[in-house]
Amino acid sequence: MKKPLKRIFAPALALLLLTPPGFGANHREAPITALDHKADITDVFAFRSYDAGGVPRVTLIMCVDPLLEPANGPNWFPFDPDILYELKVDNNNDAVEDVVFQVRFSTEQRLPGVAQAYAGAGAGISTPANSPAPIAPNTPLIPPRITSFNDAGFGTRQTYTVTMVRNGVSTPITGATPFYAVPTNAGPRTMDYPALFIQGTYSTSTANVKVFSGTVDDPFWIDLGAAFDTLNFRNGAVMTPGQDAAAVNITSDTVSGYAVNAIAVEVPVAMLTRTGAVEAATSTAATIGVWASTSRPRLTTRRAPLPTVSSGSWSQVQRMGNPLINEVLIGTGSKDRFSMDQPKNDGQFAAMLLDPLLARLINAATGGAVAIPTPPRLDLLPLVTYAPPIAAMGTPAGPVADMLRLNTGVAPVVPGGAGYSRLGLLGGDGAGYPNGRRLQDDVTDISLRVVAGVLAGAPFNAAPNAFLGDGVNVNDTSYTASFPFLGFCPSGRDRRHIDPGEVGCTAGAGPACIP
Amino acid sequence: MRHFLVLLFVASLGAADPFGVRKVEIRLRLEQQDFAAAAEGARLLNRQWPDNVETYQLLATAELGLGNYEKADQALQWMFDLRLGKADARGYQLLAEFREVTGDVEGAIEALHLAFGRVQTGEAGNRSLLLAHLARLQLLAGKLALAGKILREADLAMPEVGRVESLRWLALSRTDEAIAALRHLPPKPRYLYALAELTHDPADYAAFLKAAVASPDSANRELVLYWAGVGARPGEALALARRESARRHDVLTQDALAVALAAAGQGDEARKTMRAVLAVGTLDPAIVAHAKQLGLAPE
Repeated sequence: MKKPLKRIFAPALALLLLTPPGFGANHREAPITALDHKADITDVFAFRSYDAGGVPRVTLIMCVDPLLEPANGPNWFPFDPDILYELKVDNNNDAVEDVVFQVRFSTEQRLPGVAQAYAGAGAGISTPANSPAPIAPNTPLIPPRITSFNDAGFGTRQTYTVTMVRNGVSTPITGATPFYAVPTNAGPRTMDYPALFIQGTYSTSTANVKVFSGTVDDPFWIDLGAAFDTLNFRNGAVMTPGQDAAAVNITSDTVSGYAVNAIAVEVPVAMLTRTGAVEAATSTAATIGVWASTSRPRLTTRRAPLPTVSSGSWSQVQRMGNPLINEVLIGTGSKDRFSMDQPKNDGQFAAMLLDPLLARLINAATGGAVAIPTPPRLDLLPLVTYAPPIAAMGTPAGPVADMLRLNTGVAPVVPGGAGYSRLGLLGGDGAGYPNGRRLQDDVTDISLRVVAGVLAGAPFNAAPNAFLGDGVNVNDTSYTASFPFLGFCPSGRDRRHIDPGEVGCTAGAGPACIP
Repeated sequence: MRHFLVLLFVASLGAADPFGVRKVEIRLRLEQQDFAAAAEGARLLNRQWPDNVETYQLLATAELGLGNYEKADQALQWMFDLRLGKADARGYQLLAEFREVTGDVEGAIEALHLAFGRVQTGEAGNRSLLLAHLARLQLLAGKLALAGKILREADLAMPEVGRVESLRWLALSRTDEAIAALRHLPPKPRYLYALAELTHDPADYAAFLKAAVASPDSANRELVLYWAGVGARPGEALALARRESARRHDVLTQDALAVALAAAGQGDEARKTMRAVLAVGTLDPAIVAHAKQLGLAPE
């Protein structure tokens, strides 16, 4: 072809003129969950159920949407119907999920004309004799106190579905009725929260599987303000042996009086292990890895039917296994990538995990009084690989991955009972963190000590390393004794946040907190 | 511009916001169409300040300019994953550009609607730009009347109203009005070439050539098309096209190279180049017209 190409269709050429330039944008960046509280996972728990009866079971819990103020209204704290909430279990040591519990929510507005999400009082209240027209006296106005999910005053009602995906096969978990999410505790006049909590704890059509979702007491406890004021702990970060042994708080639990949204699933151990059986603690098949994730619908750059680079229709917003890893070990610039990535890829963060900045901060902040081991911190491997003393000898270590490791063969210990320690494994209680995580495990103190090297042996397993702590030893309220084991949401009317220097440092009783 | 970059660098040494300074520097590179330097700058910035949405936008813009569509795709996808459902207008506009160049016109329209929903009503200039882009896509989708309607809205605050006005007339197949509108535009080489292509007037071509020579690298694609066609200097067209292709390989640059190759009698090489262009998926009418003249057509 020697002839020049003809001139092209003129309007088509003119189209090329109109290539719009980009316009200005200015972002102030923040880690992704700082912008998406509903998808922010606060805690993950995995432990052998310690209530009586039945086959050996594991309770898995994920908490989302941090620091909910129960007095806040009128819309309360629904789960986000756009989020896919997932609890994931690895049972073959490759840090890839083998069993997943997927939870989705739907919201129903039953009282669109009422400003409050829930409304109720006593046996109901009618208009008085002097009620102005057009509403006649003695007209029912305020519904009766809410005691069930079907009560008239229950305005914003959420149902949810649970699907178990095991080895790629999805099985809906259903019950005799729809699963309703337990609302926040608006207050004693409006609702009988404990009754709703009990009704919202569902046995399902799948044998020995229970589910629960709802707003509950935030089960975490910590002197959060001191921790995030560059470890400015009020007790100097080191406990006396007496303080360490007592089930009392000497500093204030910043999370006291706050609520959180929780999703809990209880399943037989045999549904989680790769062998489909309850394995002995010495079995290499006994230990599972557990983490939770939140995902939102994904916008793919290449739409179907074009070739897609998307791995699915959801994109992960956050994930969590061990407590405090993303919070205090992962650098801010890497937090989003960590949140959106998969545990099996955590090798990319190994430098942060095995030479944790937190350890160096403790070392520096105490002027060297708290000596720490030299990196790489192989003593931390049990937290991020399958390794003794959690997993049995001979268990494949798998990749470095942030998951809770739970040896399902270790018998449960009833918190408060014989053999229990808030310090879990460090306190000689093999059923506690970092073997899984119970609600009662003091993961702040445990993590401080582990990061400071107590698992590395002498000299790091003695004072002061072995007595590091924030001074908050117990939660501000009690947990329930059976599934879902979570505590009741504080009443919005009567909740109490215990502050520094305030009398009643331990669940509102006892001496004052250290200011 | 070079002087300004030096000043910018010096300023960055003591800047309170070196991150912001670096981003400005990358934007300047993009405006200079130095996409390779912009992409490298964005990648460096991303290593220093990881996972910033705007950095990914700058990177995607540079990769689109270079014709690295897979890399642009990756940067865009990560940006959207970082801000699920919360991307800004610029992010969606970039998505529209990516989808358009890969032939997904409907997807590009969808992205622009999302972008439009994220622009404040007071941002008249940005709204007009998006509307103009949307009109162009509607034209590509064959919806002439709708495009004209959208362009009338865009005209309200468009900085260079005539540019939009001309397109509107073209959309309505009213070439005379388009020519009149183009004559009211600033005498930029690209506009002058478009005008000449409509009028076929040697004086208009001469005006284009004068402007292009006076403003080097401002309209190289148009120069290649001119030398390969009316200008009848295929050797010059090919030399310029190869030089441009060495810098970037986006579909428009490669399309111009194919035209120059054909004009220079290298038909096989021209078709090979054009096949690679079409493989990206573009439905750009100018490119499609060139492809047809080479005996090729999009899948």
